Amino acid sequence: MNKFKAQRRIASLWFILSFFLILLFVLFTFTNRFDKNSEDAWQWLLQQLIPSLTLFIGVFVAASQEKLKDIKVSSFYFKLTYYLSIGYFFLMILTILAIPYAVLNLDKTVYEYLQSSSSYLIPVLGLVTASLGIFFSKEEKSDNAKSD
Amino acid sequence: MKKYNLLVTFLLLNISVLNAQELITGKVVDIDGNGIPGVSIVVEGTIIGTVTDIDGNFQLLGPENAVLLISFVGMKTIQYIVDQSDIIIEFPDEYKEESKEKKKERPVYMKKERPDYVEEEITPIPQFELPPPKASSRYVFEKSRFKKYKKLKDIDEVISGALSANGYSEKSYFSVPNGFALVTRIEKINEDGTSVEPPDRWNVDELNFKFSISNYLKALFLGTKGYYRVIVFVVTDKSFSTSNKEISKKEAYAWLNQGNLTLPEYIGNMKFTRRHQIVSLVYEFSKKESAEPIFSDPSKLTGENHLIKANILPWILVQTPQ
Repeated sequence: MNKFKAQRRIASLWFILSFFLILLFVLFTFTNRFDKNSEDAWQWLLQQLIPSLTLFIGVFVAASQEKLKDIKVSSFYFKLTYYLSIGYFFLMILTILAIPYAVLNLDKTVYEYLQSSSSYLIPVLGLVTASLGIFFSKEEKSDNAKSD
Repeated sequence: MKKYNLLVTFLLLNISVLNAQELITGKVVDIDGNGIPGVSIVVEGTIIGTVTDIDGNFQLLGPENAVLLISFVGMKTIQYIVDQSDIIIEFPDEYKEESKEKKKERPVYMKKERPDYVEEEITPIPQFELPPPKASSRYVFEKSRFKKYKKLKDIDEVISGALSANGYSEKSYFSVPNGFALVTRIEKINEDGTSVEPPDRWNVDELNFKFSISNYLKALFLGTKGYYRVIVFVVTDKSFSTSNKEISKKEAYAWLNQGNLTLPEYIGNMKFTRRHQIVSLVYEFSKKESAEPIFSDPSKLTGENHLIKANILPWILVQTPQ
């Protein structure tokens, strides 16, 4: 698979879903959903998203996009990274959409609940980050040459 | 001659007897010094007697050191030895004591003689603090609606009827000066003051919401908020205001267990007078998710609105037409 296309697809996924999550949090802030823990709640969200987003931006700036069009990447690594990212965002969105039920059942504030969700989100994020790292570093040589 | 001498002697004797009598004046009084009219006074051993006038005064002719017999209706006859001309005769206390003793022999309460009479043991019930804590809102019932009621138990019947008809099966009674306070169980209400449907209505420890798109979005962005209410009816003839003390939801909940289950007869039998007033104090709380409940000061609804939304006031108005 063309690395340029692959990177673009993964980056699009990340930026679009990150934008959706940030928009949700902006609405939460307007409605004072986090009460006094607004800054802490934003910190929680940004630490989940910003490292990966900055990685994408850095890669796009650093690498020549024209060169990437000639580089192939294993579809296995692409799919692994892509679907892990989807899985990760699915968990994030589910965590946020479950707020009305979770805060009542767990008797916690919104921020306390988000904090507790880090226990399962962080390991998944770790896996996603690792797969992204492999994806960006791995490339398959063209038919004439191979790289490791 | 002999006959003549006998006659003179007899006359002299009479004269001397007559001369031995003196005017005895006096007054018969009670222990407070008030004259007692109609008291009979007789010189012992004679038919000489009189009756005291309206002021208790009397006068009669009697020998020196005469013994007077003083008698009056319902009193024992007493003897009095005249040692001076103007005397004050006081009916002694023991005569009144004696009449009291006689009264004790009679039952004081005729109803005690009734075979079905059960003497009530007066057990004081807890007192509701007056002035009561600050209320979220209040309502004073129109006195004119209750003018036909004579006793406090009649008022209790009206209020309890309204509560029972609207699902308030649990309540608690406290005493207040010349009246009582009736406290309802804390309940969950909607924001508009209507009661939540059972069983959630009485489950004040848990918050939940009925799923619908609008409820869900509201809960997601604004959070779930619960509202709670306790209504206290105070019936008393003492004018009162509320204090600045704020009560917590926990304390309001505890009222139900601190009071009496029923209105005692000795309070119920108290008269409901024109001075009595019936005041409804509403204590409202709100709670957002895991936060502590907050006392609503003041409530968004007036006391009248609360009672209307709880359907208590309409019920009472129907039962107490003007």
